[in-house]
Amino acid sequence: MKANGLKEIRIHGRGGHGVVFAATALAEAAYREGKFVQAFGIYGAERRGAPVTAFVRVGDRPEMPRCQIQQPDIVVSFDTNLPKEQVLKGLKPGGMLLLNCPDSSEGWDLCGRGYLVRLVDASQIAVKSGLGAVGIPVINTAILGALVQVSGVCSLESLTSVLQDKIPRHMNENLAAARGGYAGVRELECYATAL
Amino acid sequence: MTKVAAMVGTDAIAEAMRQINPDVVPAYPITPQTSIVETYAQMVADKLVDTEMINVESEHSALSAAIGAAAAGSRVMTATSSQGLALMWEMLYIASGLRLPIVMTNVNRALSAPVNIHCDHSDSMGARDAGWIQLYSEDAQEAYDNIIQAVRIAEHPDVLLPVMVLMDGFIISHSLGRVELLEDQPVKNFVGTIQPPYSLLDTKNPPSFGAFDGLHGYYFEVKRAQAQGMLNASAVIKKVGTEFAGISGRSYDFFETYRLEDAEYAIIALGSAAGTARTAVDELREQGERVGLLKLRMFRPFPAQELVDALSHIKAAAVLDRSDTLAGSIGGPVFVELRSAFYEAEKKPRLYNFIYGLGGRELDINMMKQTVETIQTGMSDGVVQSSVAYLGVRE
Repeated sequence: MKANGLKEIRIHGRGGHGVVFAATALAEAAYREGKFVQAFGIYGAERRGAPVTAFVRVGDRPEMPRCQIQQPDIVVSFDTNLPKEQVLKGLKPGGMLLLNCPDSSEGWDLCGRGYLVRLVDASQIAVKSGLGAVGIPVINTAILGALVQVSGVCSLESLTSVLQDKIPRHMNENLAAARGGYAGVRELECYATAL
Repeated sequence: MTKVAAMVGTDAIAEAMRQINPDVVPAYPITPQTSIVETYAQMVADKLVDTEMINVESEHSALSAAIGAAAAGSRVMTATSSQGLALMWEMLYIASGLRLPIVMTNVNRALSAPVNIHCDHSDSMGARDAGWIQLYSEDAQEAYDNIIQAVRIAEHPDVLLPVMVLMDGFIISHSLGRVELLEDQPVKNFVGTIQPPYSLLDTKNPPSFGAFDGLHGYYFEVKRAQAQGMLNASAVIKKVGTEFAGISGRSYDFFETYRLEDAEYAIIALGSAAGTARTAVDELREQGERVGLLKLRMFRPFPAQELVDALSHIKAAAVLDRSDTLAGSIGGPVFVELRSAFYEAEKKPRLYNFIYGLGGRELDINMMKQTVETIQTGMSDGVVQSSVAYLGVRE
């Protein structure tokens, strides 16, 4: 949390993941709780699979910077195959990383850096909820559930109400995935040898 | 009474247009403006408005159709960006020369070449002498508010000029934010119904618009009258901005100042950069630096005297331009005009120009702080390298 009460979240994923949707849905959920919000993606020549970044600011005042987030309070990575340096750029010790991965942090070597690392197996939660299939899961709502849990910018109910309004198809599957993500957040355990 | 929504900038514009319910909207799509007319076309199809929407084959035709409809006495709105505005060029001058109160959103985007869809102000700044009023918006809220006020300003009998409302491409147009929307009825009451002084369809008193009247005609007088309309616009913009507070609680002026009263140094910006500048000002103030911000909303007419009055106590100011005149070393349009405004002033700040953000290049808080550091250093060691610098360019 910045001195002026602003919480800044940066989301990394790939084209087709629904990264920008995740950013706007989170912002809208926080907005429904009376917060001032800002959510935007970087637009360019989008194509499926290319790295995509989106940004969310949540605060108590209407005035906000209008630049990309350089020093995030929270970063989210949809995929452990994304360039790690870009994902972690500007994340200070004490900052939080939410990573979609099944088990450990898959070789990201995160221990001892002072980050608060949270893991969620969004791919498995998505498939179990009936969103996509193994190999091509639709993970953004599962990650959104986890992000609500770790960020505290809104309640799970606010998120699900937004999803109900915004998602025309596979509603129940998406709600199940969001709830699954919310319940499925784990802390990364660092062993002494890693420190 | 207001209702609040989370929406992107383009939807905020479309919502304002729905409430205004113009008679005619001719439009042609272009990124990043497209979602405005796309959303509006849906509103027309859903019969939420009675607007006649004209799908044309180019922006040149879009503004041509707007001019025809406005000359017939209709309330007309449209929207464009970048190359679209460039293609409207000759019609821009005709709209203002015929004194037609068209309201157009221009979602700011760089001009080709090279091809670029991202934000800078080259498009609207290029049109700065086309006789249109220009109002810049920091965020979706201001864009929404500006559109509603623009109708009143354009149609005011002392003005009768087209108004361009500017909104930064993607940074505002595609950014979701909290917007306070007015109820429909107060907006409708505020804009009222158009009272055109002349109409092409008035067969009892048939007028002629813009006809050739020869070397000994009245072209010069028409232009002089147009200049007067722009001069009159200042007072009208101020009055409408104050009146708007009556229905919204938000008042508008030529510019807005932030922590400027006791400042030694100032940042001058328009559009979304003002949001980032405000954060930089707060952070510098925490370090004990006396820095303030002036956010320019009205670029046409240019509020020269008011800017001089607001900035004369400042030691040095960083003037931010998101476009370049490409005219040698004279700097960007805001800088050129501000420096000109100060020519006859006795007390004036040293002015530095920072050209930034061309083609969407990122402007962050640190870069903003760097501008202040540069002008402070320039003042203390007396060595001025150059008054015009390019911020964030790869050298």
